[in-house]
Amino acid sequence: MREITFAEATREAMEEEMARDPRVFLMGEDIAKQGGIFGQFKGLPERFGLERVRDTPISEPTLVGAALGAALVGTRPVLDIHFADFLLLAMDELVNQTASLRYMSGGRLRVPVVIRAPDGALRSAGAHHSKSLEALFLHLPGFKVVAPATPKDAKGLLKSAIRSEDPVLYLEHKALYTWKGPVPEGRS
Amino acid sequence: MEARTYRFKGHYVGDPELYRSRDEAKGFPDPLALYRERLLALGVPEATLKSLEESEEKLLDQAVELAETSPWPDPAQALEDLFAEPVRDYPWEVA
Repeated sequence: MREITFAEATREAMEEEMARDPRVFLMGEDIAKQGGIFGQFKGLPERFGLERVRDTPISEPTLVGAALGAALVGTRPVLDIHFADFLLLAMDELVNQTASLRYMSGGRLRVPVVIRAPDGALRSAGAHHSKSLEALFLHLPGFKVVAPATPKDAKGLLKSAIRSEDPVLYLEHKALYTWKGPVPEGRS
Repeated sequence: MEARTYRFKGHYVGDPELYRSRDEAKGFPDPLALYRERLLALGVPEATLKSLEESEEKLLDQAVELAETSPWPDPAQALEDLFAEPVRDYPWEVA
């Protein structure tokens, strides 16, 4: 079986899901012009344009609020948060709004949003860029929390997350981006 | 965007509103009343506004009645709509 890196596996998942479903779009800081800090978004703006791969200002509460609103009106946003540590800036939007609205509305509102966030320690990025927050988010009802360990997992879990009808927090460990592993070819 | 507005009612039903005088609210225009006047000035017939107001009030009365006459929810429904798919196999009993 062919081997690709973890970052390439997430990029393939994004590309396939964006091609499959026009409601899927990507937003975040430095993703279109820069291609992501770890190169995980390379080539996506060229293929899908800047409407569907959107560079945003640096304000996490605004980003989560915007993704939530977009999901409520029928799109399927994938929001990249630069580092998982910055999720904490948007806790009201994440917990009181995004994770709660289906429950609060008795199932009338749906929030199919994926929030991707690189976590874990890598090199010497410092305490504000190194946290692993999965245990914290597991305690907040309404989120599905996933953390892929291999390139194959990364691709499959991201595709499942995008197709989920509920908010998914997709935590990707920074040290894994360059790891190579077998990933089946072909789409599903 | 900055919207300058005024809160006519207290923070909650039953708020004694000790932080302002009883007459304070009188000094502020009510945007609903202002908009009504504006619609009339633009030529919307009084009868149209009245019928809209009546149908909205009826809708609200029906909502209150539905709430007051509905049974309390079954505790077994506590986890409904937490996720799109039902939560199963949770490790506690719901009375």
